[in-house]
Amino acid sequence: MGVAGEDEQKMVGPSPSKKMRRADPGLRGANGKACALEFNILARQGRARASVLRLPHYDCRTPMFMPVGTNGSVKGLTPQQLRELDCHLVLGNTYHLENRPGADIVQEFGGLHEFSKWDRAMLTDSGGFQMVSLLHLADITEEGVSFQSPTNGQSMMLTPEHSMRIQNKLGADIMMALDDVVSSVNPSRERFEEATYRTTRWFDRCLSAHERPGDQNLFPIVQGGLDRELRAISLRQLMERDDRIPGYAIGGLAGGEDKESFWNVVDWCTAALPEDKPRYVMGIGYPVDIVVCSALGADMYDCVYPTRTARFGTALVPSGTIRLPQAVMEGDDRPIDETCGCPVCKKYTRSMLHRLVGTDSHGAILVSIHNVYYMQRLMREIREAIVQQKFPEYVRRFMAQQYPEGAPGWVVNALKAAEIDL
Amino acid sequence: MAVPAEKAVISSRRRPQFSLCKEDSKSGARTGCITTWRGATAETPFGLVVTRKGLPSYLTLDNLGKVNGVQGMHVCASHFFGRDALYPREGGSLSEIIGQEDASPLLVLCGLRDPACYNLNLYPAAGREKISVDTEVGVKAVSQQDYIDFVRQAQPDLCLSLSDDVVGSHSKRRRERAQQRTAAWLRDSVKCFGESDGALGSVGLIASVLATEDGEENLRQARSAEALASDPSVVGYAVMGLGLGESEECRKGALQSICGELPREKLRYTSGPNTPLELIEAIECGVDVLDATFVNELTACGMAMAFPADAEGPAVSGTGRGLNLNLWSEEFTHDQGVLVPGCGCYTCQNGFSRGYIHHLLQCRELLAEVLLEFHNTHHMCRFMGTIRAKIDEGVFSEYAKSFRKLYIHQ
Repeated sequence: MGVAGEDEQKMVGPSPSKKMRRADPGLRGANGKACALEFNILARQGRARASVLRLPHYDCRTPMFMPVGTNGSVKGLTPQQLRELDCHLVLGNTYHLENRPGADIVQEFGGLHEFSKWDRAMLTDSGGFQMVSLLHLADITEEGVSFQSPTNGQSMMLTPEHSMRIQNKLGADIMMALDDVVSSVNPSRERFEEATYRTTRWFDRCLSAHERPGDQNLFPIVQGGLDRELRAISLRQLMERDDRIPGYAIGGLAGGEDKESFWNVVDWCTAALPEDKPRYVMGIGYPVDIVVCSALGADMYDCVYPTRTARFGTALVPSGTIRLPQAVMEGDDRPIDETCGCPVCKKYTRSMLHRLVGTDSHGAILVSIHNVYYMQRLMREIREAIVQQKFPEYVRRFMAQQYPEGAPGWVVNALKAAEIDL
Repeated sequence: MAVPAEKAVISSRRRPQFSLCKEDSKSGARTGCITTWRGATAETPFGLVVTRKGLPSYLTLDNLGKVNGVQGMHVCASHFFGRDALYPREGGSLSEIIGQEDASPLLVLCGLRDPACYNLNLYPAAGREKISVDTEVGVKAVSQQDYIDFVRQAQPDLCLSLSDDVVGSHSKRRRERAQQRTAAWLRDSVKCFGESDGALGSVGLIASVLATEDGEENLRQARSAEALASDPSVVGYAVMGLGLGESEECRKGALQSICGELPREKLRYTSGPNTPLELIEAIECGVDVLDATFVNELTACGMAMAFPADAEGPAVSGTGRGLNLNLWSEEFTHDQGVLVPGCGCYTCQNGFSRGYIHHLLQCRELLAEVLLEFHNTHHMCRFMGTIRAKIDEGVFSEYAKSFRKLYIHQ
């Protein structure tokens, strides 16, 4: 596979080192304090920004999409393929990795990078998101979250300290603070209020427990549900600790809330967060959401969507998605997307993929390659448009393809807030 | 059936050629070379990568290209059934459909029997002229004409004539009829290829001979197949009907007696050998091309080949590891070593550890199979390379003997 990405790197900054590199103690954060990250904004247009996020293992370009490698691998793709697809950072799930094989074992192997032979940047979540997704197995108290292990039924307690200990062992470039996640469609305001304050208290505990601040970055997560007041409280509390924070995450979204609330929360947070730190919107992976969030000034996204949907035969295309298992795909000799330069679109027809998806692992791998490529191409285009000061035009063209009959109200409103008129 | 390209172009293509290089003095083993007009060459003996729908189980073609020594693929026609009929019906050839690049083509051999999962005659009521085939879209009755039409469209380099493989438990009468049907299909194939409109002009026909337990019958069939050898479309022979639960002696006897009757200068293929030992045995009998089904089988059950593939003794340091590593085993949880130290495959060269692959298997992550298929395919190719070198050096019998000793001992 030969895929683009090199040109852009020449354009925007120093070429990343090829070998795995140890944490660079010389990295300086915006405030001049030693930390494991450097964030340089290369270009701005409106609220959107294109930046270099220099991490111990890689100089990532943002806005950036981070494929999810739950168990230390991205669905059948080799590290070499991921590099060729222009992935800069892969996410690992703390909860899953602690269950199997266990952080101690990963540490024995020299950390997650060495274990999975991924030499670019990594991020691990706190394990807290599984509070929402596996709530029936969890019980949340001030001390932490007690889980019932789905693999062996054993009860395990995840406290902020424990989460830090695990993530320090995994050794990713970015770690997430344990937050008190409440499903965004939970009706109880008291629960959200409790979670907002608790998230800050837990962040303080994470900060004190974090043992490798020189080579791992700890991001706190802004909580507060869909409530403007609670979000403001969360933002204020966390930003009081700004000198110890290399970057911020916006959490509690992508949990089934309505789109209007979703963009509003992103809007409030990105408007309030410091300009010189990266902003990560958690769990976002639909191309439209990514374009909207980038317009609002967010920098990082992660989602299982592109790879999960690929395994079910859904391919991402500029106009939305196509379902490869559908009968109409049989005999269709076009590639998934005629404008796509990915290795799969160069080789395979929809008809061939139609016969592979759902029955053959090979099909799942091929569609995953296409979807990851699609996401990385989208991110490249966003970054280039910002650098070339053509971002509003790009957004208009993108939305016109996605919504030929006109974009939905929430997109129009969100982009208006981002100073882009459709 | 549309002719896929202009006749003039096709007639300039020629059938694959087999040339014999060296014959072992103490056994039937031999080395040779297959060349095609497309530029694919393969040194024999070698193992075919067994595919599903024309593709390796887990390796994308860019990954397969990273495996040194892969020379050809077995493509099973039964994987290409649509709801109504076999495809490709129009449009591209098989190579185009599976995305094989012309620059470095692998040899494509096509047959109806699936080497990885027996699929013929499981439902007998297909009628006299047809053979019942188990496919993804149900049981299909396939005629000689259906199959030839597929071949014409698919344009493989080599194609097996239809063989009526039946498991040994069938009645004597049924087995006799299988012989007759296989022979009749062969005669018909030779006729089709002979009076070809050009579309079959670059496909090499491999004449199927059905092996049985009856030595006399084997000889008879081999002789009658051999009588067709003068036809230029026949580039080789296939010993079919094996790998269906027959005894070791029976298989060896059949291979020996049939290969003994076949002309030396033609290619020989067999389906069935399923371990490195059986592979060596078939090569001793004079087989040139085999299905490497054991690569798929081991990969699918989380095993990595670790038997000695090089000339110099055991490949795995430390004894007691056995011939294959079962990566599911808990013993690998903490193992930071690569599958086989010194192995040149993508997996071992990039340092993926046994512990990591064990972890991936436990999590049902597809990358486990990808990494294992890299290793196993590479290991099989390396093993075949060693066999070729030993034949060329004239010491194959000694190698086979010591390999057998070591293999059985372990």
